[in-house]
Amino acid sequence: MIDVSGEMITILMFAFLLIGIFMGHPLTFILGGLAIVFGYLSWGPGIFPMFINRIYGLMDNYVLLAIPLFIFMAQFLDTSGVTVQLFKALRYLLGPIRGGVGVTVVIVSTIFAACTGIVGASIVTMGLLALPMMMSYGYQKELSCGAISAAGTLGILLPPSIMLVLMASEASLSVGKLFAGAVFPGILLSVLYLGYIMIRCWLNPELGPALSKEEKGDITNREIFLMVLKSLIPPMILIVGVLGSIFTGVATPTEASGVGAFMAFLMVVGYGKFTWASLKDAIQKTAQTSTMVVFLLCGATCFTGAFLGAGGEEVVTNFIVGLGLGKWGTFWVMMAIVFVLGMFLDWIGIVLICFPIFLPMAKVLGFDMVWFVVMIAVNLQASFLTPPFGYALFYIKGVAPPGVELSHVYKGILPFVLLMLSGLIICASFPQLVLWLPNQVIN
Amino acid sequence: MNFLKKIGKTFDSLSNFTGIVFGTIIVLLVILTVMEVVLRKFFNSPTIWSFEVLKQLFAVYFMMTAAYGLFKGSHISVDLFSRLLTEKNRAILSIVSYVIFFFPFCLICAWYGYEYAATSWAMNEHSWSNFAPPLYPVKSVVCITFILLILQGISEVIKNIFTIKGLNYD
Repeated sequence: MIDVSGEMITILMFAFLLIGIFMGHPLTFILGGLAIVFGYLSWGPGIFPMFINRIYGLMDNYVLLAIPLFIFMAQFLDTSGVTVQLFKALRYLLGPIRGGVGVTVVIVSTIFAACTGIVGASIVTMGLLALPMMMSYGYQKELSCGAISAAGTLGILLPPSIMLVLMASEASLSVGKLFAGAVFPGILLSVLYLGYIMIRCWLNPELGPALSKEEKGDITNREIFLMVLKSLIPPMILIVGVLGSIFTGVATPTEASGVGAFMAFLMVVGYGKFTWASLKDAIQKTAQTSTMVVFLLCGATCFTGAFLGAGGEEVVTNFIVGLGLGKWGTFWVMMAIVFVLGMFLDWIGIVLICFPIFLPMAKVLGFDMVWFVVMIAVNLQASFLTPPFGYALFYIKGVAPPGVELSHVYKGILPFVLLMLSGLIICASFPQLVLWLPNQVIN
Repeated sequence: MNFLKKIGKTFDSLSNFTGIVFGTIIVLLVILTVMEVVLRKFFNSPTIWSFEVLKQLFAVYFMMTAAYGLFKGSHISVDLFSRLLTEKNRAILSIVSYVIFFFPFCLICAWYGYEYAATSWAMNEHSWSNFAPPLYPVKSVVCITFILLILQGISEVIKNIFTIKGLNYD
């Protein structure tokens, strides 16, 4: 239509995207609206049926079906109250060491991150549960907020995770292989966070003092041990059941998600938490979260369609290749772009925009696709944690007791972002960390 | 204004109703996936229909609850900066966003979604599989979804008008 260069369209699309985000409008409609305007500018109305085709492509997608089912599973876990139980039990166990409550937060978050795959849920739960407690014991606000946000964000990386489901669908990779690839990087990050908290608190007990003996009251070690078992074993069975059936090829990830939701429902019944009201609540919350995630794809897929149609892919590819940085230089530039986009966009937008451009480049450069996608997944942890738009930071601020300012959260998160970047470098230096498990998995 | 309020409330309850009705599809999705696994693993008799039925149910599920999500405010947005504005200015900004982003997107998708579905109905389109379910019902969902979204969007704009005028909507 109008003779505008690809460069111009690319820059304008992202500039207006940023403006739209600042206006506070729902992201999916900003992406969709921009797709309509810029699609029309570069192609005319002939591009519109393509948008409908792309939306139908999402509707006709068996892999994405796992997303609402995993969300449903997470809702049931939330209802079961098992997080609260495990937190209480582990706090008795680990409280007497320096930084013990912080360590408890990371361990509990890691386990439930693996179960839920939703960042908001685990940060809100831990924020409500652990943060007031940590503050009353004299834990430093920054460290407490940072630990909860960073550990809660692991939910998006540790399988089963809805982000990996979406990435597998976009990259045409096996969900099972991606799940397997993310296991060790996720554990690595968790261990880095744990080590950091323990070392900092050991060096400076002011940050996270050990709890006194009286705190424990008259609970015996045996009781604590039973509490840990009771709250740890059912979720462990759930994780091992879901991941195991995927890794061994017994069930497709979609089937495993359905069975996982059913098992989580049985857990709710088993813990005696079932009520019709809670079921209705879980159904409605699942509908809201699912449509938020999957419908965001509708806007994003149109945006990507318009972006690719306008030649934006070439613009970005030429730009990155034009830097002439070689294989690894190019890799880190791509990682840097993902990191910077993470400050402004959420992971769904980044995946939908970056994958069509970066994956062909990575393939040409000779990177293993599973490894490359897992690296982006690790990197996208930062999109939750980096200001100005880090959702984890808003979640924690939203549930934090008075006296916790956004500045505490920002300061607290910085070391954890650095740890996450070290994790990224470690995974880049030792690709086997990512690739060993997927190679053991039946395709 | 009473008339506007009535329209807004009607669209709100329509979105709420569709959300609650179509939201329960998740239960069907769980039952069908579990059933398929059990039939295949323990009875060695997988169905030929569950794969396609599941896909179509999934499509209906997330599309038809989109307007409900808008009503409940669950679609991701970043209110970091708009939060700093006064309530009135925020409402004005919101209406502007609806006009430049939301309505063009939804109107175009509703219109072309209608053509997409009409083509499918006209050719009596079925899937290519053995089971061969009709595809025109699920293809009609695109158009219906965006019409529902437009209605809920109108309600959201009405709410903002009430805020600007300093009137009570609830």
